Amino acid sequence: MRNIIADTRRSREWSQQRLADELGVSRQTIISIERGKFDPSLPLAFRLSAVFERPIEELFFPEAPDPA
Amino acid sequence: MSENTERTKWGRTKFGSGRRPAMAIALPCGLLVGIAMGVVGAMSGLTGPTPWLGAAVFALCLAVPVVLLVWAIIVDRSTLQGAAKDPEESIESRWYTQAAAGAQTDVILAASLGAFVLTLMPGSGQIDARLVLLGVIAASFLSFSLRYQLLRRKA
Repeated sequence: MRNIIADTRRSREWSQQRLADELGVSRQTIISIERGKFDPSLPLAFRLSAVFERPIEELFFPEAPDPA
Repeated sequence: MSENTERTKWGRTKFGSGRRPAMAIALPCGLLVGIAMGVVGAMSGLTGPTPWLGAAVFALCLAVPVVLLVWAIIVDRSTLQGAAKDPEESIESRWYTQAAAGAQTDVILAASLGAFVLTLMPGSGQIDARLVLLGVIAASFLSFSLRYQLLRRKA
């Protein structure tokens, strides 16, 4: 799953720790989500959506399918 | 009395008015249990020819894990510095689950392989069950630690 969490966070001038505190998770979780190495649970995705005031589908989108 | 919500390294208790530092309760509890078990060990002859030295070693070895156990039971996570509010949503929780599942598979494989090798070895005789169980515990810890560190480095 790809995402624009890092860009959205930077546009608000938030640190990773600030976002982690807002969501109640560890900073490492934010780092891994931003790198695309960790797909958050649905409740956490909804919290991200609420914190950034944007729908989930604007923050997360599936990987482009491999060209056949 | 107002509740103390300040975050500290070792946190505060979940209960009681004023929320006392968790270590202020865990430390004496752990030391008391350690000393009591040391005395019981010495009196029951478990500690060999030097009962009081054995009791002291017994007490020291038990005190640390009991202090940590009591602390883990009574501490309010929200009063710990740097503790996430929802740890189960954090990536560390996923590493833990994956490492634990992998360690379980490793232990089953190692135990199966060990049992197979022992059946082929002539004269392997009886094996002390305590040693086998200690080996299983050590293998579990080792496998879990290695897998957790590997997942952490990959992230």
